[in-house]
Amino acid sequence: MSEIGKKHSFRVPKDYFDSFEEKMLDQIDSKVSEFGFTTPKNYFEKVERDILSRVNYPSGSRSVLKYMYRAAAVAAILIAFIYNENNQKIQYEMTELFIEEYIIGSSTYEIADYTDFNGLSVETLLNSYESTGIEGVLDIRLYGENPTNLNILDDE
Amino acid sequence: MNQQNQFIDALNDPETQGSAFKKLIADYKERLYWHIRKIVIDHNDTDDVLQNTFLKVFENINKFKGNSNIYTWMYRIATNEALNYLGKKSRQVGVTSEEWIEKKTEKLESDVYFEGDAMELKLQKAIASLPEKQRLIFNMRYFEEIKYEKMSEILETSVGGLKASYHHAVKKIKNRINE
Repeated sequence: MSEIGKKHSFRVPKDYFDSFEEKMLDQIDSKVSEFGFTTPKNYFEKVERDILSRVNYPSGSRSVLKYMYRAAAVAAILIAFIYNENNQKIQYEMTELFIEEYIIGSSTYEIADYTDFNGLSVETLLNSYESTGIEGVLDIRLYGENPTNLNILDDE
Repeated sequence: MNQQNQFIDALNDPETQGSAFKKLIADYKERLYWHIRKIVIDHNDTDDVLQNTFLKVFENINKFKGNSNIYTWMYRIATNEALNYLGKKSRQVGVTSEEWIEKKTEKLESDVYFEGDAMELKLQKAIASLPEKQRLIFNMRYFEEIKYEKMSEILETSVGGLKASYHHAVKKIKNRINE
């Protein structure tokens, strides 16, 4: 009779006492608290993994990709340049037309008013005058973008 | 070359940046977490901001020239990220960031990640009633015990301005608690 109740009738899960210490330490870790604020259990271990999984370290394949991006960028610039070159002709023509229209509608005095003479000096005028001699004119006419009146010397 | 510069070089070197960044996270995650948590209150929001902070640090480490302490620089990023996050969240629901924080603090009692006693809850509610800048300065000085000179570097505010803000904050909190 004296032995009744001395034997344990209750059971514990397998390895309960072996893992108890570890579990308790985990519990203590989860109680990281500052002025009442707490975090989920093992949060700081988890967040470290989360951050590291979001970081893209440069790797070999990434470097190839980087060069591909660069090549694509260069190609895009070239296409834009060619497109712009084609468009530029139209833009020049339109600008010329606009200026022409503008000048036709203005008197000499008005045109003089529009012109900026500040940057103009006699020396510059003379230099630019000298730079286009008869040979120069001939060269322009013969080899320029739009050769005109190839018989100019014949007239003279 | 000092220790910090060596560490920054390691962060910029593709060969070593993985382990260096891991060390950076391990060294600063908790300090930055608690700093952010005081600003945004909610754990899940803090988690978002903390992760974004470290990603910003990683993306911009090549711009860090080592003229100041890396911790100060990271603290500044964390503060900006937290304040921007608050601004964005509060705008989404059409309130000011101060109103947003007051609402969050009112729900602290039912927050599973808050187990402060009645006095701590009262203190948090009093802090939540402060204007954003005063709240930030109060938290940094009172809880984190950061020196004014260091705070001045992080927040790019004069020491005098910080002292005045802290003084006003303390006065308001005392009044609020004694109400």
